[in-house]
Amino acid sequence: MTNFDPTALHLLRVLTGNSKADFRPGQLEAIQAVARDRDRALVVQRTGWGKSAVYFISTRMLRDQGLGPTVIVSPLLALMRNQLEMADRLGLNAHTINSTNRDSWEPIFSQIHAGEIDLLLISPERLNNPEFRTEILTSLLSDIGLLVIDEVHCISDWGHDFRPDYRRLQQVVASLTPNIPVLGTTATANDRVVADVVEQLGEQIKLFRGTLERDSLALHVLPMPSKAERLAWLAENIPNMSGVGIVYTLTIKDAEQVGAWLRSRGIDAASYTGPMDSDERIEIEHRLTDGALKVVVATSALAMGYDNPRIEFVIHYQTPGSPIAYYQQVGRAGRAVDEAYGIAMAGSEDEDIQDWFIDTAFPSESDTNDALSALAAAEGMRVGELEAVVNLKRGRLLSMLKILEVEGAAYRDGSLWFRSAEPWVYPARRIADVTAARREEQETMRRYLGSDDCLMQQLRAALNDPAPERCGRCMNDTGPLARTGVERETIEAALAFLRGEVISIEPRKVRPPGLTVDLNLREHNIEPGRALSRWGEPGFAEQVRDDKYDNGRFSEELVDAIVRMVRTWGPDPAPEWVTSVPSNPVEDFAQRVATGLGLPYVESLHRVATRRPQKTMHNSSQQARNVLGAFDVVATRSEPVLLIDDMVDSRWTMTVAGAQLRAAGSGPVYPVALSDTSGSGS
Amino acid sequence: MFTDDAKAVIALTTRLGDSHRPSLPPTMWHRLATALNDAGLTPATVFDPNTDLASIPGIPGDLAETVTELIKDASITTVAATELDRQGIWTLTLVDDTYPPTMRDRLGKGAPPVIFGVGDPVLLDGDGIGIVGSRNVDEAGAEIAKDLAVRATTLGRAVVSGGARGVDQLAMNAAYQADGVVIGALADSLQSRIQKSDVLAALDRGRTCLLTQQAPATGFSAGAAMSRNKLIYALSAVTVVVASDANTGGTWAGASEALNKAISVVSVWRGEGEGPGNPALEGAGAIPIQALDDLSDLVESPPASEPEQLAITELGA
Repeated sequence: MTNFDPTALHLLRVLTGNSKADFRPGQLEAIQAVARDRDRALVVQRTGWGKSAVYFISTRMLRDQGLGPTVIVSPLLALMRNQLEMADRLGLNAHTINSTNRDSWEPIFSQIHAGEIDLLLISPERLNNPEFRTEILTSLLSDIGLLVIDEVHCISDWGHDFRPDYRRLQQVVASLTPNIPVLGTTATANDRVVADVVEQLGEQIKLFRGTLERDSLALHVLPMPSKAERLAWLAENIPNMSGVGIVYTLTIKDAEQVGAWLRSRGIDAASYTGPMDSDERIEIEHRLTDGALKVVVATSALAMGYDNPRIEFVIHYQTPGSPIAYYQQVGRAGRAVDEAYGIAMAGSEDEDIQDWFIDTAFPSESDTNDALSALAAAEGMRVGELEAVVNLKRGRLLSMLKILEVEGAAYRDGSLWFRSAEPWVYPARRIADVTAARREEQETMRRYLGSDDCLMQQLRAALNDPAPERCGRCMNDTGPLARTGVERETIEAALAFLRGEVISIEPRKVRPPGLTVDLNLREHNIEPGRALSRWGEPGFAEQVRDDKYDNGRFSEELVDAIVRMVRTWGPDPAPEWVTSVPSNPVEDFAQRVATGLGLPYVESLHRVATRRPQKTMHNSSQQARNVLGAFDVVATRSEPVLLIDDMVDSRWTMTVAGAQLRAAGSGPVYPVALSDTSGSGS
Repeated sequence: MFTDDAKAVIALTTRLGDSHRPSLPPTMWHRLATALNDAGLTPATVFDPNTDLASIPGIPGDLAETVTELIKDASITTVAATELDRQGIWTLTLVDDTYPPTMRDRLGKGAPPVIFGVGDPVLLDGDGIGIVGSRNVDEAGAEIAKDLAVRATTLGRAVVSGGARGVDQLAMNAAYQADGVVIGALADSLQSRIQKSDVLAALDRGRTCLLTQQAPATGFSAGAAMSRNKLIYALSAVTVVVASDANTGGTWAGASEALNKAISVVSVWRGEGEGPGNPALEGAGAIPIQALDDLSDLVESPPASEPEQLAITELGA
């Protein structure tokens, strides 16, 4: 292979369409490692350094040696248009396998076996599926020429976004035979994560690590504790900012709320969150790339893989508690533009949310032990059956199972879960160490937000950049952004928006498993209803909290607000009477609401059993059982009714009480609550 | 995780991940391993694209070709082995330090290149007491099987058996009840076994190890039962045949092979509950045991040299 280097250079020039292009430091060496020596390599370089050039050129060269296709495991939903163009310039035929295109898997595999595919993109989530691993992966492995793992820092649980799917991938990589070259890439890893990745991918891996400097990015900190003020600032300033950008939030609800607010202010904004369809997400990515959107409001779901070099601003409506996460997100800005902004607006709720993420990152020892003992005794359990044993929300139960699976403590066979034959002890020490490291990162971020020193230098230092220097562009080097006074009117509008947003209560449709009591949700279900506020947010939720816990009586302000809400909402057919879930403050409140609406109040439900607070029950099975048999219907009317409670979380209280009223002959039941506590993590 | 040498063994000798995949029979593996070893090379050499296997003395061209072909998609097997590991099933190869040493020593080239198991493999120290016999044992034979197991436990030895119904399970359960070490060499699916709650409970206790030389998903076969018999003898210092048919059945064949190949000490129960083949096994060189104390004596002062063995042909097998 004497012509290796000139050939690689030639390919680079074809790839870039620039006959004078030269490799950036480290690129050629990485290509040599995988395509010439067929070794393992780890590339830690900033976004925009040209990692994709490394694997495109390596793929071309390996294919020309007669080797199989490159498999790229990446959180990218699809290759970006510019990447597809690059692949095309090298004559590389690229395809994607993800959950949305299952129908094309078979033809894609035939093409792979026929040698017609050069690059295959698969999502790491695929690896968490046992059928995929045993059937699909096996067939891929028989042909693979190079395995690329994008965002490889995710395999480290020291990382800010450790993903069990990636740990799965690490196990696959570790078990590959040494004749398959592996290339791991990331832009975001500190020393600890790099060391961990090296250990997991094999000590003999070659490391290529470069500077994290981003020379067009100007970092700013703009602390604004209140949501209303932040919303107002965004609405006033985004229209005046050059180019397109991203606003990051920490929670899905915030991403939806901020997106809705910006749209209500005439800004072309879309929300982007993990639970959305990947088709929908790809569409939003394209619209942002094309400039059809001014801004995307996203959770960390957009942190990785979105590869748009034209982003000119990244604003953190809420700021993550990790400098690595922050660098990764803010680093989306300014890749191919001369001037870009990264603005962190520290909100008052940020640390609570960060704490929640840190505290719930791992399942508890007692929950895991409950699950494992049940699995060991059961000879196979469905997730629904486990819910009856383990008091966790479905989502958290599934993520616990995923972790237990990766840990080798449990495994899935078809739809049944089993305890593995491996003795397993809850890794309390490791979890404590990782949690402590995350607390340290949170502290680093706190210092960043209050610092007078160069911001980029601090971020680079936090990521163990070998030579962090002053950037000369951030607000501490050049002065803060002109802090345009936010118009009072805009703040008022934001406050009204925060208060007035419709929060719906959707009826539960599926009976939880393991119920013995009769509950006919098809015939006796409640109608969709409304909540006045979201727990933990500014606005009415604060009033609800103060009234509930300190004042002992819900104020007239809340009565008026509920009356206004019901009038604006106008359920059809209209409610003709009001009742409530039994509890003194709620009954008192509901009576006043009834008066406000000019409707009769009827005491229709009596409590016959004392239960634990519903908010301490974490999944459907536990919640429904906790409330079943709690009430008796003592009176009812045949017309539609408003059923009032103070808090709504799982909706099981409302659902069961409503079903009992319907069964007793009541008309349609509309649930109304003062605050929706679901998803608040409290 | 597997060393590259272990990956080579797994890749070449198993069909994990794809039962249609070809693999090297153990004899061919030993031939390859010996040639590599003689050339000062390790098994992982097979993955090195710059090594021409056919140029190594002792590796014929067709073997080199087969190996080169097999390692192309070898990751199928190693990834599948990792998948087993996730279920708690370990894979041990002849090149691993933890491969049971007496299996290597006593079986020589008959040693399976790869075994699979659950539980702590350190229990497979080769000092166990094998207790074997037919499925259809009478009540007296059943009692003897249990008593022998309890005695073995008292002597601080593992009870090694085959996990089949009859003598095997009686002996293993008795040892388990007596809190002894239990080793089962299985001829049925290990993967199915470890989904049973009683098996998981036994594993959770520790002091239990199950192993097999067939792919863990594979169900029972008579051939598998034959090949696992020699694992029992290889893992036991002394194996007691409680009841055997004459000239037929797995117990007879296993004991005959162990005597013939002098794998380890074979003894045979002579007393109430014995099988029709027991006298003939004594005649073929198995050491008779007529009381539990005889087992203690045998274990504490084993014969100075291997007992005189008769050729298998003389047993009429």
